[in-house]
Amino acid sequence: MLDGDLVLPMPAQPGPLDDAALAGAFKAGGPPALGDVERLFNAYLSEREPARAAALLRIAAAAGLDVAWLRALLARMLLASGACGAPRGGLVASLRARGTDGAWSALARAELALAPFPLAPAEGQWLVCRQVAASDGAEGGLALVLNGIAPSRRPVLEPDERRQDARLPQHLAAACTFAADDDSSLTVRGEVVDVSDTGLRVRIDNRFGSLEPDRQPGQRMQIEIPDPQGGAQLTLAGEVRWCRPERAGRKRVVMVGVQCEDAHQPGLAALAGLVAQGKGDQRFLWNLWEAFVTSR
Amino acid sequence: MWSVGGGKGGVGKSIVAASLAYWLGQAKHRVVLVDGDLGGANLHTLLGIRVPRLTLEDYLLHRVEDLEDALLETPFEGVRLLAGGYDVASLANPNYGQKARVLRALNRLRADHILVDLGAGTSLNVLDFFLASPHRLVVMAPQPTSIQNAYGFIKAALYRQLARIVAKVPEAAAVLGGARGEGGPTRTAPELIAEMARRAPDLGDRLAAVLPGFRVRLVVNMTHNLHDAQTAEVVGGVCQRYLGIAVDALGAIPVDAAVERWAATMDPACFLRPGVDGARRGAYDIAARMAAPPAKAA
Repeated sequence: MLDGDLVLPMPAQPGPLDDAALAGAFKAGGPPALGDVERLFNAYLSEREPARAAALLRIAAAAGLDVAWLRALLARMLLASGACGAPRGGLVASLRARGTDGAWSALARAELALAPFPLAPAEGQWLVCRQVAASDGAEGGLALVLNGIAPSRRPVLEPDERRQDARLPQHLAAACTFAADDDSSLTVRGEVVDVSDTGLRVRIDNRFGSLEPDRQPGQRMQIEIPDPQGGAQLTLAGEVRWCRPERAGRKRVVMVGVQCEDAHQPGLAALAGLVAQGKGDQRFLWNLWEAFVTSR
Repeated sequence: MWSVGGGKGGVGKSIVAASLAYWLGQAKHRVVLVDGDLGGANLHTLLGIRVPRLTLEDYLLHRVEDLEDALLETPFEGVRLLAGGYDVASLANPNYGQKARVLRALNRLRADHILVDLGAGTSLNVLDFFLASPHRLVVMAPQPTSIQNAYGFIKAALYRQLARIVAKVPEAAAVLGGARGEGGPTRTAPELIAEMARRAPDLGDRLAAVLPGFRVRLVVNMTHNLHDAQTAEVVGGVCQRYLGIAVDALGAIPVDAAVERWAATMDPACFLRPGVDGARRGAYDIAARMAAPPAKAA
């Protein structure tokens, strides 16, 4: 986390939707496939139905599917579009002063709670509030922005994971280049899944089958992240700490944990700032469409 | 082996083939890019080779006995090129023996992927090389004329395959001739096949196997938006309806200024920039789908 961040553990409280009943209805017809959820989610967004999209994700999560990145995406969209209300100065400081329970109660009463994205995540989830520099010269040079819902659970550490701090969930497209022993390199597509103070986790496309999870740890990896809003590309580099295969639909993917080099710490902080400002991958609809096409 | 065809010039077949080869090679696969435009080879110039030292012509004329020896290194890591002969009229129309020899040699190459960039049009040689590949890729642009051309190319390839089966049975072959004639309702490929099978019962099994085994994949090149990319589904729908074959969309490649510079300057360095975005991303995804093993049947 960055200095000034406030991380609040979420209390258990029922949301406006009856999750248990909806989950039961889902189970009656069999659990949905993640690809189906993504397609439906895509359709809801296309039809400007964020409330339905949010409800869908809650149902899918209740059915045991990992839709963390979709929830983060929706939250960022809503924040970016203003659907959740404008950021309000003093919010983080105010919440901090109220303590965990008080902060949550305050949020539940706030305008944000009325937004289509329900502010009632399950127990064990976290809300991250971050103070970031304002781009429009707000008074004092700082604006306080509610970062959004961090739907990932408190980190479940991988066996070789060294990061003990909270992570910000992501969906940022990236180009990942592995340096091989023979001076050649391998560039593959990936997406940053989360960011912390010391490193990041990247889901990497391995459809080419060129990555060998057993051999990647220890290698140097460069990550290029285009600014989704057309700004300068962000480049980070670090060492692969762990790498394990993971299946996502029919695609072959591996998950990689990268510890950033000291020289790239400013870049990592910049990435966290990018995230905190709610800038995600603007091509997500394209991505989902691609997933739809390739999954048929 | 993948053949890369299309109904008409200008849709970017060569650029697409080279882009796919780049990503496959970049992913440590061994790739051979073949310039199959026998009458007007120019793939080498796209790869920055002004005058190829060796070409397919050297193999056909027995100046090189092993096709491996005719392959040229390219600026793309892991990608070798079999350049086409250029300005050699005789190469444009190889005879059956020459075609068979080339195909046998291609299949013996030490490569994970062979990409044959075919010439434009629907000449029999183009169609024969297209049909000889187990994997067939048709490149199209999102314009209506290109959609028509892509469909026309696929239809011509299918009819060529049917014609070869019934070549020795004139009564059955005449059915295809009638299908191309004037007047009367348009007959679908399944209807034609049924008629041919009636006239040549001994060929019934072979004819019946054509449509289920005829697989073509489409790439939409130079797209501006999602709607453009979905034009592949238009072609797929028409193919399904009139030809009775399944045509899959393999992906789309967006318009990209860097690629336009590449085509204008013939400098492949234009494509060798960092990152995976724009046309590089489109080509990446298609190459990844080509490299991935086929999904197991449920």
